[in-house]
Amino acid sequence: MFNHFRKFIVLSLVILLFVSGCGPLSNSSSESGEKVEIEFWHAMSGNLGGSLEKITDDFNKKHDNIHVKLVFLKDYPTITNKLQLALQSKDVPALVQLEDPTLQTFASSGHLQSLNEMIQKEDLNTGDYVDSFMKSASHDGKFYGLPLNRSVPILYYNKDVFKKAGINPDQINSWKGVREVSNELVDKGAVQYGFEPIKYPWFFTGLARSNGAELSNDPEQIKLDSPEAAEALQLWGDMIHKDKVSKVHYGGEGWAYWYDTIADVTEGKAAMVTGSTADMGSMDGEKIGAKPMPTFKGEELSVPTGGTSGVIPKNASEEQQQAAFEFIKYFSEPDVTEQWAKETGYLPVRHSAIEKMESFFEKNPNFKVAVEELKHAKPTPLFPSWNEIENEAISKAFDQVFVDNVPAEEALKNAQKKAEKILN
Amino acid sequence: MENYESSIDYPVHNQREARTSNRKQIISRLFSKENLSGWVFILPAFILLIVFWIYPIGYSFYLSFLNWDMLSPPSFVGAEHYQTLMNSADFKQSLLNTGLYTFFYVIGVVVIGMMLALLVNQQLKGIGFFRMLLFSPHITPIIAISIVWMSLYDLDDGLLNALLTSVGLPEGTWLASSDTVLMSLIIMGLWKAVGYYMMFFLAALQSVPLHIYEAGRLDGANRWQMFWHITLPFISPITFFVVIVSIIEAFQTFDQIAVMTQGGPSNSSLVLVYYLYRHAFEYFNIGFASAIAIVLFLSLVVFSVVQYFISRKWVHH
Repeated sequence: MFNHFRKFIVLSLVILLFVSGCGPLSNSSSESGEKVEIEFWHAMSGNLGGSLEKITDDFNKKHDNIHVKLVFLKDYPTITNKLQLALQSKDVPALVQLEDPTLQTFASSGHLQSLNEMIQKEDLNTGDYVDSFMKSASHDGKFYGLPLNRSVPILYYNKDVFKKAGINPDQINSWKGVREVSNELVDKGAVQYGFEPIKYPWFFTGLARSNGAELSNDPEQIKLDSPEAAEALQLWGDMIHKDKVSKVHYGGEGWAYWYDTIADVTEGKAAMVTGSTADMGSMDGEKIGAKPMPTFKGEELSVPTGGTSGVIPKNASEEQQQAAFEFIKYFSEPDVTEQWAKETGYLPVRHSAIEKMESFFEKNPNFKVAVEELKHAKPTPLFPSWNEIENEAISKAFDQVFVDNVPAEEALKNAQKKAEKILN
Repeated sequence: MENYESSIDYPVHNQREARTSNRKQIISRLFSKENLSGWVFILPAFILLIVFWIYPIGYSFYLSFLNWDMLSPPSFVGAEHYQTLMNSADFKQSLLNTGLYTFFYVIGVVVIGMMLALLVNQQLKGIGFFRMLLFSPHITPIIAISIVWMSLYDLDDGLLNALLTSVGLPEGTWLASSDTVLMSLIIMGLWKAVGYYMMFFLAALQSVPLHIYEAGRLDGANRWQMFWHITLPFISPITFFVVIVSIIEAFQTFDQIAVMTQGGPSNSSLVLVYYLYRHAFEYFNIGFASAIAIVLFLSLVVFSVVQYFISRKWVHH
């Protein structure tokens, strides 16, 4: 009997040894002279993913000593989760795509490599980059990323609908115009819905700013419930509940509600939607027109920047960091960012690229609107908890106004209370 | 043997001796050769239990006293997370939602599951086909089901609203309103689950000895009386099992919430597990999420214990 027992113990030890030997394989870092292989974690699906693949292939062909391997993760929150876990296990990818608020979170906890040294060494001209993009990738005066896919909110409209109803699209430069046109179109039976907002908290920053409300970068001063913000949000609520010419999509996995909203305007079910410049890549410019985010009377246009920056975790080895930097630098080279912008609708991130694209903009007026808007772009509030405030406080206020018909003033008061709780 | 010993008056020191020798005996018997093999046999299960059950629960409990975002070093905050939970409107809402969901889910599972079982317990040709049909939602992945039901629930071109309007009824708001979202999720959950629980009831029904029904018939009992006085008591152990299992299942509802509503609109479908997930993996509040997990665990324990004691009154073994 005892013999059996010993055999059992030996066997289990062998199994344990075997299992512990099967740890996760890390980015194989290499001896000098060999290829450095790095992983790039991204969430670009559909035609965005295809375009990214093309650029990465080109990069790999041009660089003998670097191989960038694309790792697709479902969406931005998934990237955040996985990165968190990776940082725990100290087994990190060398390059990750992060949204502005999450970049702030990881940078402030000291897990990201500051790029200042590398930027200096490579003599990269940061002045050529669009200022607001660089600002949103910095924390405490240091750069932690270079812009990858950047966007601003924009208003799309169905040209056919407007043409048939004989409405001049210039009418929708203001929110008042959007409301009037929506009512007119629904009354005429031209569409089921005049205007559809996307229930994504990022748009709140844009909407509030379009009525002159400013959201502070200082967490102590954050004010979600200003009368200007309430008035702006109430307009969207009124169009849904009073005028009944508007609706929101929600639910579904990942970006489903976003694409449902966009589909309504391309299918002619709705006349106008708020979207991102990055939706342009999947739209037919002949049928769908673009306008800058509308404003309230007398207010200046001011839109938040969206999208991500490429960041490098501190735990990656030095040569991997160098390779990752090489890639994001390549990605923002004028030719590459131009190619990326043309294929996807994301914005070119460098002034020199924008200048080169003049003739393209003439032929594609929607892109021109997007780039024009860039002059009025500013990052969303930049501090680590902004992510949670957007998801918990603002998203709930959106629900209350859009679904439950709660007055915007009350909903935003609740949101402000919630935000203060989160920040404490 | 034991009776013998206790009846004999030993001197005090002898008694102590007897006790130690008794203890030695127990220990040596515990680790005797035959018992050793017994230990070895339960060892794998025991290790699994410790690694995947006892240790994680203990670790979560420990984590619930820390402030930790998985990035910075953790700091000890004592019972602060539990205090925050008690004052949190979101937590209360998620508790209420979980409670409502569980209540209607369990009642639905027991009543509909039992009725279906009675229905398919008939000796009919091709009854197996119907049993399979009713069971099939259970083996379909919940993610796929959620996506299909979302299109059924769609306001503008969903099948359900089309059916309702075609017979002149007002349209439902389904997932698109705080008032109806939880109910819609329960309906879908039941649709998926009743076939599964039906199988348990069916097995129980078929184990009721026929001669008792015969005796009942001789005594002049009608069908209802036979169901009430014979069938129900006989299947009560299975009913008890179904109640416990479905309570646990309802408490752990997550996938369909994640796919269909993300807890919205305005938190009206926020359930405990989704609340936990949000704090753990969206906002990195690991300590706070652990406190939620512990509350979830304790409420399940309390539910099960209470059920166990109540069950003595109605379960016949």
